[in-house]
Amino acid sequence: MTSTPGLSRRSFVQLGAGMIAGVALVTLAGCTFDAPAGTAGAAGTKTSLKEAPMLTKLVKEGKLPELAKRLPAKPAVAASFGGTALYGGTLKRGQLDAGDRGVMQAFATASFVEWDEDNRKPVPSLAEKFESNDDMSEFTMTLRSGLKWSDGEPYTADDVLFVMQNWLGNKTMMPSAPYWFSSADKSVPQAEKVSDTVIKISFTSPTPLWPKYLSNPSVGGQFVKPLHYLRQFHPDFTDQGTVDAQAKAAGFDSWDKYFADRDNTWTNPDVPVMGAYRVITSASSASGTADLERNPYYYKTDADGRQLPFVDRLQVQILAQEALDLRAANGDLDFQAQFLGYNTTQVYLQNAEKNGFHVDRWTPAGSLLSLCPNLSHKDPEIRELFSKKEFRGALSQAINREAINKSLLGGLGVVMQPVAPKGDEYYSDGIGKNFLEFDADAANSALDELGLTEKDSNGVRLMNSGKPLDFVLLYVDATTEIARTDAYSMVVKDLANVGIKLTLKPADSTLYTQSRTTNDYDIDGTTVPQTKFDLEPVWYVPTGGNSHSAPAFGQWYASAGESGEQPSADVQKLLDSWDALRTATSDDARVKAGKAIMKQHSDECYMIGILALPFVPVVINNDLLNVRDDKPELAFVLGRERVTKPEQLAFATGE
Amino acid sequence: MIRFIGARILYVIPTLFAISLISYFIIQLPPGDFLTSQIASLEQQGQTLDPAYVDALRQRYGIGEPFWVQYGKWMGGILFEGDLGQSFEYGRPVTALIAERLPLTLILGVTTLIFTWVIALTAGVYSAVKQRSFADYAISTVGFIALAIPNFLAALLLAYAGFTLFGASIGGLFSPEYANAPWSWGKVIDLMNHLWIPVLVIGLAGTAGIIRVTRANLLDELPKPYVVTARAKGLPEGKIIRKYPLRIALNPFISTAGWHLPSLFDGEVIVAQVLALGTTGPLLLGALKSQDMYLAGGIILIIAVLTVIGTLMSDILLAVVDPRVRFGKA
Repeated sequence: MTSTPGLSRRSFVQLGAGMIAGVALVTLAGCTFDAPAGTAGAAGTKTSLKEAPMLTKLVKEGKLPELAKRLPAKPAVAASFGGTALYGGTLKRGQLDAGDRGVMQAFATASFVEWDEDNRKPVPSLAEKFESNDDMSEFTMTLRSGLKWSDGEPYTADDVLFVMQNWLGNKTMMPSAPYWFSSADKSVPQAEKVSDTVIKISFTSPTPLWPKYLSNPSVGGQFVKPLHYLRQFHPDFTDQGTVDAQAKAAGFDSWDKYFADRDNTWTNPDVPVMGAYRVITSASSASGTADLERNPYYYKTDADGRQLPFVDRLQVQILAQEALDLRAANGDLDFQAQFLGYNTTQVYLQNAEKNGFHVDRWTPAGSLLSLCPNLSHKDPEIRELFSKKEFRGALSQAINREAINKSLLGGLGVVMQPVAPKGDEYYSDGIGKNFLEFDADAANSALDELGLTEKDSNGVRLMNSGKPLDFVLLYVDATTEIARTDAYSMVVKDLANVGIKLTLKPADSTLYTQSRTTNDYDIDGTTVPQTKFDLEPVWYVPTGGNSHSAPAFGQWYASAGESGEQPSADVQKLLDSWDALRTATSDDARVKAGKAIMKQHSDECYMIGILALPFVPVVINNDLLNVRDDKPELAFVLGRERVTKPEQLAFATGE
Repeated sequence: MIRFIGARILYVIPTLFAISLISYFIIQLPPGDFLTSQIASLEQQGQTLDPAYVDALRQRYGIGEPFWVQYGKWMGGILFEGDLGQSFEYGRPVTALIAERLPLTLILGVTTLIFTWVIALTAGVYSAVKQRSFADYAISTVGFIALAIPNFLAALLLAYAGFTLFGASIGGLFSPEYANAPWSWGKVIDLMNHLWIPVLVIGLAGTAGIIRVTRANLLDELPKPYVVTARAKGLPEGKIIRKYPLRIALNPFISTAGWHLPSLFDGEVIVAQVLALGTTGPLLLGALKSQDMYLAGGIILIIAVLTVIGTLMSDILLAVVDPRVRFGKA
C-alpha cells in the first residue's frame, strides 16, 4: 500500500476507527472499506484505463512514448486470478539477505517461455513461438516483434545471440557449460540468427528438458541480457584495454567480475530489464531497503489489453528473522510466502484480523525431512551394509513417524517417502508406500537376517568386523520448518530400540556442504524436494559431487570417470535412466525414464522420508487482489511467489 | 612528553601487524571457503550448483592459494593502494560498502556514547555521594539489570513492546516510506523514533561498569584528608567534589574512554543485527558467516586499528590530565 510520509496506513485505520466523523471520513471509509458498493462509479472509469496513471503523466509531459509504441505488436496476455483492478500502490516485502535475488525471480522475471497456469508445461512468453524439431535437439524461437527494454531500446535476436555466444560461450565467464545450456557431451549449443526475431539453437543431442529449464525463473531469466548496455563492459565489443581500465576504476580486479556486477539486475539500477519491475535503489545500500518501480515497456497485458503490472512499486527491506516475523504479524508486509516460518503461523493468525491481512496456506515443496544414508561410504563394510535394501528398509520401519508427527506438528504433518507425489508427471500408482509403516519387530528380524545378531554391552548390534552399528547423522539445524533436532532426537530413540546407535551432529551449513562434497559422512539429514525432480536431478540421481546420497558416485558421473568412484550397479541403473531421460526424443520416452527412477527409489528406499509440513503460511494484505487461492506449490523452480503471476496483483484501493 | 608519545606510537606498529595477521588467519580457520558457503546458502535457498562449475570458479578466483600468498596480496593492496579488496558476496569494493554505512553507524555510536556517559557519570557520582541511600541501591540495581540482560534479548523485548503497544514497525532505523527518501525533517524525526531503542539498549548496558568504577573511586577519595580540609575551609560541597576528588576518580574512566572508539565504528553487532540497522555491525556478521574474507578482514582490521589508536589516545589523555602518569610515577 502507498503511505504518504508522516501518515501511515495504520494511522488512517485508527483515524477511521471512529475518532473523527465528517465528510473526510465518509470519503475515506468509502474507498478503503466498502469498495464494491462505494466505488463502483469511480472505479468504473479507472478500471478502463489501459496504462498506469503515473505513466500517462509521463506521456503527457513528453518523457515517454505513448502506450501503443511501448507494447509489442502482440503483447503477451498474463493469466488472471481475479477480476478488474486499479493501477497503483506500493507492495511491501521483507527478506533476510541483501544478496538474495528471490524477489527478481518471483516478481520481475522475463524469459522466452514460462510455466503455464498449472505449472506443468512451458508456454511462450517473450517468445511468440517456441518450437523444436522431432528429436528435440533443435529449437526455433520467434520473439514477439516490437519488444523493448525498460529504457526503450528494441529487444532483438542480437540480444539473445549475445547471451548464448558472448556470455555462455565465453571461457572466462563460463569455464564450463552449465547443465541448463549444454548438450549431453557438455558442449555449448550453436545459436544462429535467422532474422531479427527468429533464432535457431542446435544441441548435439536431444535435449527435451531445455524448455523446462528455461521456465525455471532462476535459469530462464539469465538468458535475457541487454547487448546495447553491456557491450561497453565486454571485450568482444569494446577494446580490451578500455574494459580492463573501467573494471579497475570501479574497484574490480578483472573485467568479468565488473561485467557480472553490471549485469546484476538486483544490485545495479542502471541495467535495462525486460521484467515487470526494475530496481531503483539497491538493497545493499545503507538503508537496507530496495525500491523497485514498474517497467514502462513491460510486454504483458491483461485480457482487456491493459498494460501490466498493476502495482506501481515494490519495496523490499532486509530484516532479521524475528523482525521479519513481527513485521508480518504487524501487517507491514503486503504479500509474503518465502522466509515466513511455519512455526510462527499462530502469531500471524492471532494478529491477522486486527492488522488487516489474512493467512493463506500454500503447498510446501521440499519440506519432507529425510535421512539419506551415504551409498558411496568410505568404509567398505558400511557401504556394503547401506547398499542393502533390507537394511535401509529396516531403518525406515524402525521409525515411529506418527509419534514424531503428534509431538512436533500436532498430527498435522504428512508422513511419506521421498518420491514424486500424486499429480507430478513422474508419479505412478503405488509408489512411495514401501517401509512406511512403523514395525519394530519387522525391522528387528530383518536386521537379524542380515547377520547382525551380536550385540555389545549397550545393546548395539555389531557388524561382522566387530564394530558397532554406530552412525553419525549430519545436518544443518533449522527451526523455521520442522524443528530438525527435535525430530531427529526421536529417530535416535527409535533406532536405539532396534539396536542401532545414531549420534546427532548439527553442523554449520558450510561444514555440512564441505563434509558432503568430500564424501565424509555416514547419514545426511535434509529436506528433499519431490516435484519436478528433472529440474534438479541431483536429489534423486547422483549427477554430481553435491549429491546427498552418493557424492563419490556423483563425482564419477560428473567428471566422466576422472575422479570419484565407480558407481555400484544399483546406482548405475539410476544414472542410465537419467541419461535416457535427458536425451529422450519424445515426451513419452522421457516420462517413462523418469517413472523408472521414481519406481526404483520407491522399491529400494534409498532415502528415508519422515515427515513433511502440511502447508506453508502466506501473508496477504486484505487490500491485495488477484492472489490465487488454489493452494499452489511454493517451489524454487516455479519462482516461489511467481506461481500467482505477480504482475497481475493489484490493490483494491489503487493509488 | 614527546618521548612518551613517540614510544607509544612505536609500540603500535608491531601490534597492528600481529593483529592483521591473526585476524586474517582466524577468518580462514573454518572449513571451506567463500564458494563453499555460497553453495551452502544457495542450497538453503533451494538451488543446486554444479560442483564442476564451482571448481572452475575456485581456480579463477584464486581462492585455493596458500595463506601467505593471499595475506601478502591483501596487505600489499592496503599499504600501497589503500585498497581493502573486493567483497565476494556483494561484488563491490569493501571501502565503498563500509563508507555507505559509516554515517548511520557514527550517528548511532556517538548518540549511544553520549547517552551512556551522561547517565553513567551522573549516576556514579550521585550514588557515591549518597552512598547506601535508596537512590544508590536503585541506580546499582538498574545498572546491573541492564548489564545482565543480553543486549539482543533486551532489543527484541523492546521491539516487541513497540509492536504490541504502539504498533511501531520493527527493524531498520527508518520507516519503510522514509528508507530511501532524501533527508528531510520528517526523516530526521522518523530516525529519532527508531534510534531510541538501540541507544537505550546499548547505552544502558554500558552504564553499569562506569557507574561502579566512578562510585568506587570517588568513595576512595571522599574520606581523604584533603577533602576534609577543603570542607573545613568552608568550600561548598558541590565545588569540593567537582574540583578535587572527582578529577582523580575520573582517571580510570579516561584510561578506558579511548576503547569506545572501535565501538563507534562497529555499532554493536548483535543488537544491530536483531534490529536490522543499516550499520557496519550486520555487515561484519554476514561477512564472517559467508567467509567473505576481504570484507570481514577489512572491518576487523579497521576495528583493530581503532582499538589501538583509542588506547593510544587514552594513554595520551591520561598523561595530559594527570602529571603523575607523565613522569612515570603512577
